Amino acid sequence: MADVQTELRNKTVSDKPSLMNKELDHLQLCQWLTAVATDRDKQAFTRLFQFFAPKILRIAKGKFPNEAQANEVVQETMTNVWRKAHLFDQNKGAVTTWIYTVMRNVTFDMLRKVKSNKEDNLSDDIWPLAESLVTEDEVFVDHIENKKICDVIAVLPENQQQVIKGFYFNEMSQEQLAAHLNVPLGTIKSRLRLALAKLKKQLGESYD
Amino acid sequence: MKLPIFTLPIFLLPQGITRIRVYEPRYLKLVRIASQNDGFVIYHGNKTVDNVGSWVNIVNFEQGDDDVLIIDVECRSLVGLSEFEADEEQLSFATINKITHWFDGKTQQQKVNDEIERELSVALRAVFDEHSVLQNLYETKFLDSPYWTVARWIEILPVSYADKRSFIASDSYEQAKSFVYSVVVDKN
Repeated sequence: MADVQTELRNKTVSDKPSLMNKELDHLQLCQWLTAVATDRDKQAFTRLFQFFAPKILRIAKGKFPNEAQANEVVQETMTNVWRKAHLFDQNKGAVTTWIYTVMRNVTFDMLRKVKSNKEDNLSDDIWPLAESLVTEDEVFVDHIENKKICDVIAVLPENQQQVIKGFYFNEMSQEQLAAHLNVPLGTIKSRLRLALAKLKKQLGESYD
Repeated sequence: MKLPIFTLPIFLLPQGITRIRVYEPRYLKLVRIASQNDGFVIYHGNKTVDNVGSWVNIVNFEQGDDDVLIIDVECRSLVGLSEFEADEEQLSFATINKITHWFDGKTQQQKVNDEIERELSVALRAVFDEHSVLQNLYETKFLDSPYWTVARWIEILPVSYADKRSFIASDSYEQAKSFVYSVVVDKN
């Protein structure tokens, strides 16, 4: 009898926590990903990153001989997770499944790239690309709090992502400015357009 | 003088402050060098556009929730860059030459000169009141100084670097002022 009890207790001790952890994990991961999707929650994203990055890296190392490429898979996957979090539907599957699908697509894209052996060498040219992205109206909603930054980062080549990820923009978006001044976005756009046209005219005159 | 360069497409005028997250080894090295010596330079990195950067000092630092180093930097002046070189860790350095800007020599005690400057100052105060991140970045705000006000406005407006760089010219204060005014103040 005593033996059975011990055995049972052992069983309880060994099985229950792992099951609970597993359930907790799913629930927790789901909450984090939802927070990223709906609130652009940076802290939740950090948690997801901490949870998935080592796992993705381990898998990627098996696919790419080069450690830098494996790291690129991690980077690329997680920026896509940030960017596409709103596409996750918890009724269709677990967070882990979804993120590994994102990773698989990234891996395939990279393998294709390696195959065609075309490296993007744009390292010195960060400015025009970042610049053209910044002017896209809908990209930044919250520069100052740095929540939308990953949207832009995600479409940059890896070497440029490295640079950009390091910082906060402290510029307002057109939406922020419109909301702040309590005028429609269209008004802000046309004011900016007119102000820039006027400025260019002034500059043109001063060059003559 | 040769200073390390942080490549970022940020437009920062004198006394402008921004927050930077640092995690790349070469930029952690930059922070080490900068804090022992004389700051560093933020430069957009496109030599075909211009060779003008913002010479900054580190004024604050902290560890973010994800353990990334966060530094607040304040621009002391605009600088022209030349003699670029990179070390083995891909950290760039360049020789700096101070560029005179309309902000230079303007004391913070300056009072507004006209109605336009007064309105811009009121409007900027409202932006600071609304955005706590910006509010906390600046320990001291000189909202009574028209030059400080116009410089901060230029930094935060959603305009491309290519357009903002028009306000680097030492005689561009009036243009900058009228530019900001036509964007932020409703004249109807």
